[in-house]
Amino acid sequence: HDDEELARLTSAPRCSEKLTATAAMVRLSRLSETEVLYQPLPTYITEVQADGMTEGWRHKITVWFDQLAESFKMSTETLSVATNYLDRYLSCETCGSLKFQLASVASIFLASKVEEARPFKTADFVTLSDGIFSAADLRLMELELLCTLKWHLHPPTFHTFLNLLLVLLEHDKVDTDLVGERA
Amino acid sequence: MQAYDVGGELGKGQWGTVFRGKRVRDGLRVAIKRVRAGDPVEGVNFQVLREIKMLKGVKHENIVELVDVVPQEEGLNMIFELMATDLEKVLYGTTPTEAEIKGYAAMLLEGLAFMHAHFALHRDIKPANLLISFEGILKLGDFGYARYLADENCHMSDQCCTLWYRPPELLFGASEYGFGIDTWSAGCVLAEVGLKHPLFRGETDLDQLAKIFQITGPPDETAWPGVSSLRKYIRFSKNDNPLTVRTLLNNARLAPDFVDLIVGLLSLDPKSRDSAVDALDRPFFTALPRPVARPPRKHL
Repeated sequence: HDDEELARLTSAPRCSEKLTATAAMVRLSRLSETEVLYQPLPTYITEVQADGMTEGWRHKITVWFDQLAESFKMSTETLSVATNYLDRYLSCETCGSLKFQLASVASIFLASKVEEARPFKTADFVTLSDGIFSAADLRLMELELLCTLKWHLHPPTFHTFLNLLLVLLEHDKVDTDLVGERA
Repeated sequence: MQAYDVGGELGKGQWGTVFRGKRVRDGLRVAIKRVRAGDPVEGVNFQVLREIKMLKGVKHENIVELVDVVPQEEGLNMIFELMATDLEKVLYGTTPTEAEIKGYAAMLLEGLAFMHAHFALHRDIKPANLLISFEGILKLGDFGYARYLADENCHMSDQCCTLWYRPPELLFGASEYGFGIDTWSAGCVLAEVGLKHPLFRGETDLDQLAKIFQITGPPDETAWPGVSSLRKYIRFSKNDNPLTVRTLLNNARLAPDFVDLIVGLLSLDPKSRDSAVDALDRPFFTALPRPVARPPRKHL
């Protein structure tokens, strides 16, 4: 069944549109506007967290996200989105270690549903968490996360910026080539 | 949900039920789309999440506004601005004037041009999804199939667009597609507005292609370079009695500049199809009568 699904996905159509330099410029300027909506509080660990969270916790979780991405073949974009969700949640709510873990799991679960062609199932996480969290825990946390994020689910990520900058560079290169030819 | 007074039922959709309602704070009239969370084990349905993600990102006069999202028990309430009616009901229940039709066409294309400029596809343009406000403003609604073209490598579903409005490249299993799928659907909608019946009424994917080619004639490599190498390409035999979209619409006595607009959107080859911006530049929109938006005469 999974192979079938995979075959269906790899035969799925791709996008035929290419961004023009102008469109990339417009998107870049708009992204810096919307970025404000998606900005976590840079000092949330000291200013919001009051239940023992340290830099170490966040580091551990990002390493775990990386491992998950590797074993489940998730895109790095999804990881950036999940990290944004988690940071924004932690900018509003203080968490003890158990809730912190649940929020992390819910962030990657939510990001995979929003971004991935083959989203996670709750059962995957119940297994991954060794049964510490139930499907119901995850579902409730997901809702709490969504409300705290005010349903803003499309953060501009590092990749969004990089892709747009690459488009601009590419066009720039073409333009300079043309100028060179003419000269 | 204390922030809203829930009123009578407006309709049932694929995802749940829509209710009329009012925001307590200021009396704003809203439509409350109550979606079941789908599988209660899997949490919020991912298609609902993607619809919300899209609607939060695109704000435009010709795109329906998502006012709020409120979770409730096993489901979610998506709160939209209340709309008066939709293009399907206006088309089959009233007789819009030429100027109003022009207004609807312009607003549909403005909404699409905005989405495409933001690199987003709607993927389900049809009369029932074109909502009309109490002031007569047309807004694109139902973003269940909409998505961002994140990057050129993203894989996309070929199961989108309601059959009658689905473009030939999707039906032929093209390995890539773009904004042209929305503009084809828009062409079908505008032809339907002129004809007062759907343009291509197929019953299966294959029948849909047959219905299209009955009128346009089957495509060849000259009209649509690369068509014969598409994954699901089938050669259709030439029709003995070929009719073009242009003659069909002329026979129905549509204004010649309206016909030009529709024909530009219904090019079989997506590469030569008008974009929403091209279409808005057509003389149809500058000629008299000027496009107008008037309050619809009948409400839901």
